[in-house]
This record gives sequence, C-alpha cells and structure tokens, in this order.
Amino acid sequence: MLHSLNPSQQQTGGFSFENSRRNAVLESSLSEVGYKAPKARKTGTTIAGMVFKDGVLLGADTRATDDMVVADKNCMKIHYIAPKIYCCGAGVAADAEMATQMMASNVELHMLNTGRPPLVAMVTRQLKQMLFRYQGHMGSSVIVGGVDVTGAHLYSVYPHGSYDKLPFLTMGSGAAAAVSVFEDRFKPNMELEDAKKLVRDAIAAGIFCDLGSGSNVDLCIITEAGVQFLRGYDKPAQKGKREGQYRYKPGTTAVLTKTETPLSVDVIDESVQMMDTE
Amino acid sequence: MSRGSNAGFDRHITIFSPEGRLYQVEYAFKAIAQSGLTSVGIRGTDTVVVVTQKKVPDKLLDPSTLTNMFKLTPRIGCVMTGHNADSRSQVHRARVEAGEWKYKFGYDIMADVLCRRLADISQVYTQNAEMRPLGCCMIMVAIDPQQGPVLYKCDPAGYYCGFRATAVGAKQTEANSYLEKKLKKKPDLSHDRTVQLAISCLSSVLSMDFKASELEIGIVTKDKPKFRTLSESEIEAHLVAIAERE
Repeated sequence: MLHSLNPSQQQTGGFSFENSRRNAVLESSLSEVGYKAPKARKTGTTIAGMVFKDGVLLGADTRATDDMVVADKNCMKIHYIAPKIYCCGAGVAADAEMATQMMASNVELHMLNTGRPPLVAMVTRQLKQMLFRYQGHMGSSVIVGGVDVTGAHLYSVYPHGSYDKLPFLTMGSGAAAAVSVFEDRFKPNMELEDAKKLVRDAIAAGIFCDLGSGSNVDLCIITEAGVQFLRGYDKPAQKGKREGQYRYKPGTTAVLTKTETPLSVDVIDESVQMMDTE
Repeated sequence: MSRGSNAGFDRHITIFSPEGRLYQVEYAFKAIAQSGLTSVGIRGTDTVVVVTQKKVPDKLLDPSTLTNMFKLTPRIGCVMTGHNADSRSQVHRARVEAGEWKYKFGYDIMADVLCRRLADISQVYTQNAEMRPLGCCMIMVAIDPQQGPVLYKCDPAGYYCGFRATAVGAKQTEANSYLEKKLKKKPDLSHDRTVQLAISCLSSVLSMDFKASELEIGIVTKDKPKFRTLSESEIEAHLVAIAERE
C-alpha cells in the first residue's frame, strides 16, 4: 500500500535525531574551551556536465580535501550507475559514494525486473527521494548524466532533494568558476572535440580558481555507442621541476683548523631492568 | 510418508493434494466461468482490442453503471472476467501498483511489468492457506512505447503470458479454438478487422447476434495510445460492417 496510507507506521532506519540536543550542548561547551568537533571529509570539487551532439559529457577534478589539507590527490569522482549512466559526486565524499552505490544497485535490480535498459529520469527520481528523506543531512550534490531510449539527459540533484534538468550544469565549490566558462562558450549540439575542450577548460577554471579543487581533469563521454572513461585526461596542475640543488659536493667548504678534545667519562651507577617478555 | 495425512483439507485450503494439485486454484478457475460471461482479446498490427458481453440481469439496473472494462493507467486498460467483487479488488490493486511505480521511478509502468506484478500477488494467494485465490481473470491491453501493441492475460494461478489473441470465461475453449483457426494464416489485422474479428468470435461462439447495447469494447491504437471504450454508435458501426460483409 502507499506509504501515505499508513501514517502510524514507525519509520525504522535512517538518521536518529535523539542525540541532537545532547550534541548541541557538547559542542557549545567544547567551543567555550576552544576545541572544535571533527568535521567530515569533503571533496571540495569542481564537477561539470554538458549535453553535446552525440550524448553527454561529464567532467570532474580529482582533489579530496580534509578542511584545509589535501587528503587525496587523485580520487575518482565520476561513479558508475548503469552501462550508459554515470554520476559525478560533490560534497561529503562518503555520502556521495554511498548514494551512488545505492543507486547503482537499485538500477541493476530494476533492469532485471523490467528487462529493459534504465532511464536517467528514474535514477534522478530515486536519488532525490532518498536525499529528501534524509533532509539534507546526506551532504552529497550529484550530477547525473546518461543516454537512454528517450535520448541524452543531464540532471543535477542537490543535498536537500531538489533537482535541475539543463543542457549544462556545474556543482561543488568550484561551480561558479566552471559555470562562467560554460556561460561564455556553450552552444547546443557541439561536436565531440569542442565539447571535450570546453569541459576541460571549465574544470581547469575550477582547479585554478578554487582552493577546494585541484590535480587532474577526469572526463567521461557517454554516447549511444558506449562509454569512454578518460581518467587523467589533463594534468594542468603539474608539480614544478626543481631547477637547483641544495646538496653540495664534499670539499665545497674549505676546512681551516681542526682541534680534538678527549672527554674522560666514569661509570657512576649500574642498574638492570628486567624486560616484560611474557 | 505424509500421503493422505492432510486429512482431506487439500480441497478446502491452498495446500497440495497427494497428487500434487492445488484444488483451490482449480476451483478458482471454475469460479471465473460462473459469471456466465465470455471475454475476447485480439492484438492486431496497430490495435489491441478487448470485447466482453454486457449482460444486464435486472430490468431495474442502470446499465451505465455496470462495466467490466477498467482503466489501470492512462495507457493500460483491462477487461475483467469472473467474480465482480474480486475483479474490483484486483483492479484497485493494479492501480495502486501502477501509481506507486510512477511515484518511485518517475515514468509510467509497462504492461508486462504490471501484469507480472499482479501475477506475483496472485501467486501469494495460492501459497497462503488463510487467503483464497481471486476468482477472476484479467486481460490487459496497451501500446508499449518500444514493443508496440501488447496483450497480456493474468489468471488466479499466478500465471501470466503475452498473447496474440485469447479468450476467458464460460465459453473460453470454443472461443480459443475459433481464434486459433482464424489466426492460423497470420492475417494482417487492421484496426477495423481486429475489432470485427473479436465481435464475430463472440457471436459465433455464443450463437447470438449482438445489439450495440449488449457489448463492451475497449481499444488502444498506435495513433491514440490512450485506453478508451467504444461508444454505442461506434459499436453499431462495426456491427453494421460485419453484417454487410456476410
């Protein structure tokens, strides 16, 4: 029966908010002493997607941050959902990973049940219903893109469960930088090479202009024919090559004088301590 | 060995008999014929049609409130044969399943998936001792966006299958053999020919000439994929066409 017909059923699973008040009190008392509660690792991120002539193109950077420290220099933010549906995840890394894995298994079950390839709209529907159920506590923003029987589609889903369907989308902390590149140069029905360049430039804008994004650009090209996953398509933020050296040859510094002073040492005390080898 | 130790309950509830039969399920099939009506469904090249008799048993009855054709989704329709109350229950369940699917997945359910879901639910009734199987059979019609016209039947045993043509009800064996004969040569069935073949099947098997008020016809076509029932004047036009051909 529809869930709305059983209002008295207790909702099991999901987040339990019993300790919220206690946590708030603890946090305030901690901050009085000067300590901060530990924060979940976020991916910072610039992710972008666009619809081009033959299908959908998804791009992402590869930096995962732990507050102000880079936790992973080459993480994978483009996740598999179905043979022709992929998803970029931004926000809290664990939440994005779990959400996309759940979607992938739901889609697999759905495919076996119906005997037909999945629709991108179906993935978006399930994703947004799950995120809404968790009231934004599941901090993952995703861009879902893919090709199905009805054509090529691109959706973005926000942590609270709202979604947009547009020809080009960007998410993450570097979204503003990336979307400015799209707004300038996007045209409908672009060719593959132009589209790859455009997405690469959008992600590069995020890598250079946003602290939370960095390292390489990953691309994922989804067309009717199949999927091409270009890991490390571009590495704009290469480590610079060191020009000079701080190692000096022996003899660079001239020895002027040498003096030796012997020190006499006497044994004052001898004690034996048994080691605990049991 | 447990032979014969069911103490004769195998005829009363849905447990196996020593020969491996489920008597309750077989009795459910007999209950379908009890209603006295027969329904026919035929799938043509771009049309699927279901026809059933409209028997008004009481002169005081308002015939416009009596129907065996139901719309499950805007694009999937069905005809129910058998127990009236069981039919309504199954139709309601089908509508709920279709609605939940649309809510959970964001697109309309397909006829074969809906039929399989109902068949799975009917199968549960054949396994639970405390529930009896439903004494009704559903013939479902739709235009599938990828597969084109489809005709599915789902019975109390939990069996479902796609058909080119099928019949259910009191005279189903005669109707099925009539349809087999007519479709043996795999004729090309246009919209009108499909409807008229279904009506002729019923008239020949029941040996009666129908008036437009004694038939209910539901169709879906590729041009108009929404399920609808034909009005009396449209049924009259088909009856006239059949009479002229003879």
